[in-house]
Amino acid sequence: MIELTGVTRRYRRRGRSRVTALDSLDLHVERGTTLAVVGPNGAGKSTLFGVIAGLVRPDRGSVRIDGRTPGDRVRTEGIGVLPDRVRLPERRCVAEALRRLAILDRCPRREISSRVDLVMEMTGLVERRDSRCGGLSRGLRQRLGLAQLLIRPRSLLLLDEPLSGLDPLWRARFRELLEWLRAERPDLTILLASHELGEVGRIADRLVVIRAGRIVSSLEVDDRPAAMETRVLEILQEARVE
Amino acid sequence: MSNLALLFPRLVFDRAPRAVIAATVLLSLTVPLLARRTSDVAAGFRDGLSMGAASGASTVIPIVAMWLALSAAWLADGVVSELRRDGCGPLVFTRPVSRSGYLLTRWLSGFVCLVSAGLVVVAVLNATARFSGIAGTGLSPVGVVGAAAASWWWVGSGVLFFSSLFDRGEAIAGALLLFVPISLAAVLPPDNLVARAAVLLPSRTMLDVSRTLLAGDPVIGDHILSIAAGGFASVVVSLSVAVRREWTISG
Repeated sequence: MIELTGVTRRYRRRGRSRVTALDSLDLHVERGTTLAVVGPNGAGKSTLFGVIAGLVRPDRGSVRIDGRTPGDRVRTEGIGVLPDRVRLPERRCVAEALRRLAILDRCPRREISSRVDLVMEMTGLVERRDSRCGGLSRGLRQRLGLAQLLIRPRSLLLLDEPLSGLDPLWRARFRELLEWLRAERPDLTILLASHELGEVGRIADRLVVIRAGRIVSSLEVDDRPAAMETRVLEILQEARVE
Repeated sequence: MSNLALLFPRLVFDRAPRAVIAATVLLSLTVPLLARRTSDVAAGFRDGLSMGAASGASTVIPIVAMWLALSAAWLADGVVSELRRDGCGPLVFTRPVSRSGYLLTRWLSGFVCLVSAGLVVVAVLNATARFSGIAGTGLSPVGVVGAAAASWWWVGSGVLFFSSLFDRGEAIAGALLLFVPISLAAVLPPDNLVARAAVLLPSRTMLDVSRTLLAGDPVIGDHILSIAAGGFASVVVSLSVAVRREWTISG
């Protein structure tokens, strides 16, 4: 269970006043839920994920994941993160990059190669195993990001714009892989930030709308993606007027 | 910790071949030339930094010592800033690995790279001494390891500190801010006045130790103590700062 209480985070920008990325934000996510976080650019989605992952410290408020701080959680179990732009050392080849992440994931030494081969196969990267990470297209980088998540799946995944750059075929494949992960780990909790409401409707159980660092609405996802998309747009419009 | 032990050789081989090859090519081509053409500058270094008899007539030792210091700066700069440049910090620091342990492993891998490069360079210089005609090149591998350790412990930890505070580029700039004035001070007239004032600077001490070790004089007890204490403090502070830095997961 993830619990954020009164989390505030401000950034100081060069030559500008302070920007509030998260403003007394409260969020409660039950274990096993797939929660979509939607909102306009700069709404605070990435900062929210950074705070949950322990990469960003809140100025105020508390963050607990199963009763522990994000730092404790990362040290003991880790948190699966897929950034919106997957970046790995440009000169390193795909297989080696995954091998190193597998080492950091505490994979048993003997299993590293086989596990890396498996995730490359799952994400269609086998033919690119010797390609340098720097030469990969956006879509291939996203698949590499997905592959590193699958090396040793965590019970908490933070996916920031996971579908960006993926072609329709790989979007479908991505959904399949998430389904497979959820079947493998019933306690899997996923937080997903996306602008693509149609896709969100297919993946998430619940959706929160975030604007200016605050959650302005929370919706249950139903099987009518078009209606949900309209509702989210209305919420964002209303928040803008306010 | 076992995962970091498994990662260590990979981190070393990341940079060691490039560092060794670049250093060998650069130094084997330029040192003989520099040693001949810049004998005045080298003499300035020697006088200004009070090398005394330890350096003998060698003009190579100050150059190798300075090269080790600058290489240490370059390698140590990458410990944190490479993670920022590559953008893989979030993928690393959300895995079950100690941040300080990981950064320390990277830092130590840089030392191994520096020692490897130093040994190759000295081997090349010694092997080509007959042809290059440089006096006093008899640099021992033990001296190189000691000098590399002194450079790394002091310069490496100092740059790690800059690297943990600032983003890419600024760490090296910080290191240059330390070393360029010292180097200039050592050779500037009148009578190396500025260089004498630089005696108090800790980096001066490190260069002295490096060059004394390279020259094979083991009487460096006081200096080693100051370098060890300063380096230790710097490493602890730097790692504490680096561990507390924030990382963004947005591109």
